[in-house]
Amino acid sequence: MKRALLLAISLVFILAACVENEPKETGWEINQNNQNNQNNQNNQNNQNNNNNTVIVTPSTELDGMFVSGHLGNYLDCPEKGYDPNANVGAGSAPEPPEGEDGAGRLAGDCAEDGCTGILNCEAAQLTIRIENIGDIQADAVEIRSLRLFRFDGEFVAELPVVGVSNAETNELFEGDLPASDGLMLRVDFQGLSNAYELLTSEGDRGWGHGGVLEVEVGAENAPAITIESPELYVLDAVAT
Amino acid sequence: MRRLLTILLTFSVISCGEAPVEPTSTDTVQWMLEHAPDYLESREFRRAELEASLWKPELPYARKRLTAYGLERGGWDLLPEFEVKVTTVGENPTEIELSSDVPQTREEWLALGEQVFWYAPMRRDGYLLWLSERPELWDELGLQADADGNIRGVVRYTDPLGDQRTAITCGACHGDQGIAGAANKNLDLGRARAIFGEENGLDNTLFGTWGPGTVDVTDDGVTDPLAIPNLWNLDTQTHINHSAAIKLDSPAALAIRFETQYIEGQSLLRRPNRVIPWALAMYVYSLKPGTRPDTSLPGHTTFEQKCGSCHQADKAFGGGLIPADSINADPLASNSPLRGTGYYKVPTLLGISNSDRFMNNAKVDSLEDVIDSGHPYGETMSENDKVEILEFLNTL
Repeated sequence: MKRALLLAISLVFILAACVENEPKETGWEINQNNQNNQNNQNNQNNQNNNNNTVIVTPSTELDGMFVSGHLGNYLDCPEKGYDPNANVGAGSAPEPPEGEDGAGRLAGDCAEDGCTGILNCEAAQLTIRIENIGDIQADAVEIRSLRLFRFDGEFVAELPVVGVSNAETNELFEGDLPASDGLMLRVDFQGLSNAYELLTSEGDRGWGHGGVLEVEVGAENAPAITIESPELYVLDAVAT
Repeated sequence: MRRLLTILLTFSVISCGEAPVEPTSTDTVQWMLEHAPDYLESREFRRAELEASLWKPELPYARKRLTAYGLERGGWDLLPEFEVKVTTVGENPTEIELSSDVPQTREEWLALGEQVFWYAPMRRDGYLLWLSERPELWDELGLQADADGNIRGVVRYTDPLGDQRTAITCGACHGDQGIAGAANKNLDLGRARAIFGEENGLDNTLFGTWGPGTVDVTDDGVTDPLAIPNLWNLDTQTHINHSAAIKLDSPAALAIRFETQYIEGQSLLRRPNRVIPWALAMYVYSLKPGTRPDTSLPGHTTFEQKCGSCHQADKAFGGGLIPADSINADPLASNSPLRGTGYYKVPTLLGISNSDRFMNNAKVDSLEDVIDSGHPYGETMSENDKVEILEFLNTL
């Protein structure tokens, strides 16, 4: 009797699992069928009177997270860094300097002088992960802005983006992100030439703070998202 | 059914990983062998160990790691891995590539750790390429050539962006005469930077004030170099770094320290496969000095009486923390805004007989001077005590 009861319970669970795994019609699939049957009548986003199913327009949506980054180090090459006081524009960042390659890398990567003449010169960069959690490809995904704030929230500068590439392959990022796909992006940017001066406060213990970046990522066919970094620092010149 | 519940409970306990795992074995290497899967596979484990080791979470050094390492979402865990593929630098450059396969035995782990110690690039700097091409300066700056004529602890590699880099490994600072763990007290990277500056029109004179056997490890705008330490008997130590910013609650803390050093050394673009820092930590924990304290000497008893409360025998003649302003040491580094705790770690004295630079800034030239004037308690000793203690110290 006990064994029969256990068997019955098991069967119920198995049936429930099978029902759970049966393919379901999604809103997108229904929408496609609907479009076919009604010769593309413009009835998307309306209630289907026949079966009360909500019709969902295919869309794209970005998700993102911060991975790592630093503000570079321009101690020995301040002219390569960004000085907000010297580059006062009409509310937007100036054009970044041209890099040695398509990814726009700056000095500090030894491209120009083989690392023989500069001690502390490293270009700023950050790595983020972007995912397309929508139904269709996201087109022209791009970094729209990099806004730097002090640790206490005060806005410091909008920093120029130099280049965006695939962080794993180093290939230039062309901007297309297929549905349900994600990738790691390396963003090279121009860090502050005088970070120590601009990011610390009176009474602050010297080099004790960095800055927070707000990275706005947008696409042609998706709402923009903002990724906030933790406090980022100048790349260490001596530390291990 | 009971068995199933036990398994489920076991898994749920493992996955929670709230509290760091305290070492229960007296053999640290064995403990690391047993807990390698935790470190390699469990983010929760690594996160808990990180938090336990950063006992001053408000310090920028700690904040940087706490906001980036072992996070539930994003952070350094997502970084692509880098391959340890390097070429030695000198007369006979040799290509070396380290495997990231998980070693299966204690011997395999230690063998990999030894390779990592000597060859994995820890910190790359522009001036190191310049230095590596000037063999006439090596001896003056404390760089040593190995039997093949290559600089010990200096390697070249291709960075994640495809550029050639020159870097130091653990062995450059902690591999004197090819002995892993022995501080290179003649290494003068500050002077190397200063000479590099002279030749390239940069004012690097401050670096030149570091002195041999010291490195400034805090990028805090203050010149506060500290002596390169020996890496002996770390299993007896409660903290690492002179200012004790990292607490060694378990051996995993050392592996995390190494892992995050490599990440910073790669400009935060790559992380090492975790086999690399775990093997390195295991290897470093295995390092012991070649000397043996002669406890039959009368100076041993005198040392125990006069010095033993701080320099404890069961802590490799080192100890816990001491307020920096209570000793003669320069307190600058202990007050660093980046890593300063206000304390200094009482250093282990193992290997002191093989040194010729002493105290936390390596500015005292002899043990006699340490006891006569460098150390605050030397003044309270009789001449006979000093002679006996010196004799004992020379066996450490």
